Amino acid sequence: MPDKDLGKAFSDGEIIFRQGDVADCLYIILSGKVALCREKDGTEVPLAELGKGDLFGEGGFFMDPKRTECARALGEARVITADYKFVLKKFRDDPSFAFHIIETMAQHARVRTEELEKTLEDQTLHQEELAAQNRELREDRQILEKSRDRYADLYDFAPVGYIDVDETGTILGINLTGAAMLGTERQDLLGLPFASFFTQENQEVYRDHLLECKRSSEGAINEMMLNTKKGVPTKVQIFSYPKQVSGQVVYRTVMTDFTTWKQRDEEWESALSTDEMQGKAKKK
Amino acid sequence: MAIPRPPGSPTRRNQNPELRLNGGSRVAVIGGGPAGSFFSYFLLMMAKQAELDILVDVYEPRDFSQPGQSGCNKCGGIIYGSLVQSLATDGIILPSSVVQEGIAGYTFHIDEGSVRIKPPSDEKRIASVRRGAGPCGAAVSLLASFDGFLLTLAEEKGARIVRERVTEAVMIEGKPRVTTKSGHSEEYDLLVGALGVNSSDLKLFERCGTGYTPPATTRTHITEILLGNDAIEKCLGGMMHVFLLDIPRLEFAAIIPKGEYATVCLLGRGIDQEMVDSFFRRPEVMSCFPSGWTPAGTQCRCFPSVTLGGAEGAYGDRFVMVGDCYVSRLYKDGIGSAYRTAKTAAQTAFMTGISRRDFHRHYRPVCNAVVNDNRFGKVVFTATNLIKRSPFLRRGVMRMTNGEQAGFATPRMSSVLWDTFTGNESHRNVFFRVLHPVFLARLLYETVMGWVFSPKSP
Repeated sequence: MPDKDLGKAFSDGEIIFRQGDVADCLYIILSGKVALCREKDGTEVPLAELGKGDLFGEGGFFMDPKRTECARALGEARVITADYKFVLKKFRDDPSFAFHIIETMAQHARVRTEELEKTLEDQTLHQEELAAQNRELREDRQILEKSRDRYADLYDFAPVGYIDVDETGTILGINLTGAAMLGTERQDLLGLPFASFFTQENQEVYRDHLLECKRSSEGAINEMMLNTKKGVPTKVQIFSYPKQVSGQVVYRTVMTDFTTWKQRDEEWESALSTDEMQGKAKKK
Repeated sequence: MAIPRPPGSPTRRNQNPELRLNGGSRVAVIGGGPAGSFFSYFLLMMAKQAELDILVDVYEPRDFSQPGQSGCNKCGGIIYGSLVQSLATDGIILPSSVVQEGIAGYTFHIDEGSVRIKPPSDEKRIASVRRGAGPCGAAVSLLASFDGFLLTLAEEKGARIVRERVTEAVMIEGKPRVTTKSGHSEEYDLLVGALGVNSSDLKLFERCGTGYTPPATTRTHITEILLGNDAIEKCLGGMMHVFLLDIPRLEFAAIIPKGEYATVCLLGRGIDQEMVDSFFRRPEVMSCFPSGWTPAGTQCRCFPSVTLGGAEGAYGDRFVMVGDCYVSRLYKDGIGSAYRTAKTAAQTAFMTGISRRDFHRHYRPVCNAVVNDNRFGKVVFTATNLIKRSPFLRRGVMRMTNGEQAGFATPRMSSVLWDTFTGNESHRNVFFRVLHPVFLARLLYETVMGWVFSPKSP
């Protein structure tokens, strides 16, 4: 059946004109609906939905002769065009036509203002949501920082030294107690072989300790003599076990200073014996 | 939203409040054809915008939903592109039930052959409509009448349709009084004559005291021919066919597709049955009909009049005539003239006033422009007469148009032919385009070439 209707037909979703196209005519909808949208960052922001008898595309007549929005058929739509020469002639001959155009433009301006207000409201809402999220993030961060400080305190100021070494025995990390036991600043220790801090005869023992550690997942324990800066070797107990850190095997060593412990034991024992003596004297 | 009534400058606006339309004013429109409906529609639309309560009574005894001549205003029924656009911008969208066919282009026939003229745009802007509900004996939709559609629009705006024939319209103590056949009589503030030139009731207005004299007219011929949708599509192909044939007194003729019917219009001076018969004997005409078809037995035919000039005394205090009973463009655009005169008269009556002075100042210039344009139209149709009588010129026109339609040259002749027979542009505009040196030079060149390469030339 041939198309006998007036105007030009557009199928559902078909573009009537695009944003940026040359504007040389206005459109009148004969049947169906047309959506006006603004293209922004590759997405279409709907501006208005027009129906039978509505005018659109009149903006180019007064302003920049380029389309500032795009028009798309909603369902089957039929439109007729009126080129700007015709519009100019109508303006001259018929003042009521000018009134009609101004009325249409005012309606479009109102729709756009409402749309702008809605966008501003959305933006305000979005900003409030962002501020709330920021607040929550800040609170979470403070909790995390407190937690981190607590665990850092537990790690660095533990009564034993913690040393992480790789499979060659190079120091990867150490806590402050460990650094104090080795008598060197922490940052100077990173990258040095841990074995170099033991006495000559104990260095071989440390290598065996590391080999044992590699063989057994349960780890290895040894008593070693540690060289200190004071020149007097100190007896320490080292317990090492393998551990996966970021996909890499490291050996974590717990180093306990026997001298300190021994001094404390002696102080404790002497305190006990003093108490016992005082108790006996009182009995007498 | 209410708008303030257009103020107008104090020097231009009627200072007599008695001769202005105010809240509660009553208007009688005699005739519910396009002119009467357009007048009522625009007047009521402006009144609504200004929140003014104006009462409009439209007197129309005919029922446009009845097929046949009783409900028909007897015209070719072509609404050309710029009128379709104007109506659309005024919010009058022609429904598909009223548009019988969106015309895809024109085929121009002369004795030398035929050429198809493509429209300037790829969208269909020319509508063929039925003035009544259909030809005699046709069973058609009640919504099919263009005149019925316009009258319904006016009614929707608030006009009261009085289905009675007016027997008397006189001025009593300066105010119009309308009496109907049933004897009912009413007084109004403004009387609008919107009867077509074919109405026998035009003499009613001769008693309005303005010395109204109807415009000069000539007889035309219209035949409705039932061919069926398939034959129409096959033979006419959605095109309007225009004939510029060397038949004495015939200016031009047209075949217009309208659904399953074809409307044949002959325009000229003193058209009679003999001319109609000679038209249908021409092979160029018969090529537009199925083989074996004859015009014998066609039921719906008429010889209506068309306006040639302008009427005298078409306005006065509280009285104005609109439509072709005042003025119409020569041989075309009767509906467009009704639109233009009715809208201007409504704007004048509403914005400035209803005195003779108001209509003289604001309405007459628009109608005079049509009368003046018709003078150019007479020259244009004299030229077309010259062309259709001269085989050399016909050949030149055909060669020039064919070349343009093939894309070899700027479409000067095509656009002149298009605008001469569609009514899209004024006769004046066509006249000055014909005088363009390039146009004349090309026509001369093509005429000489047509003569040199003619098989009949020595």
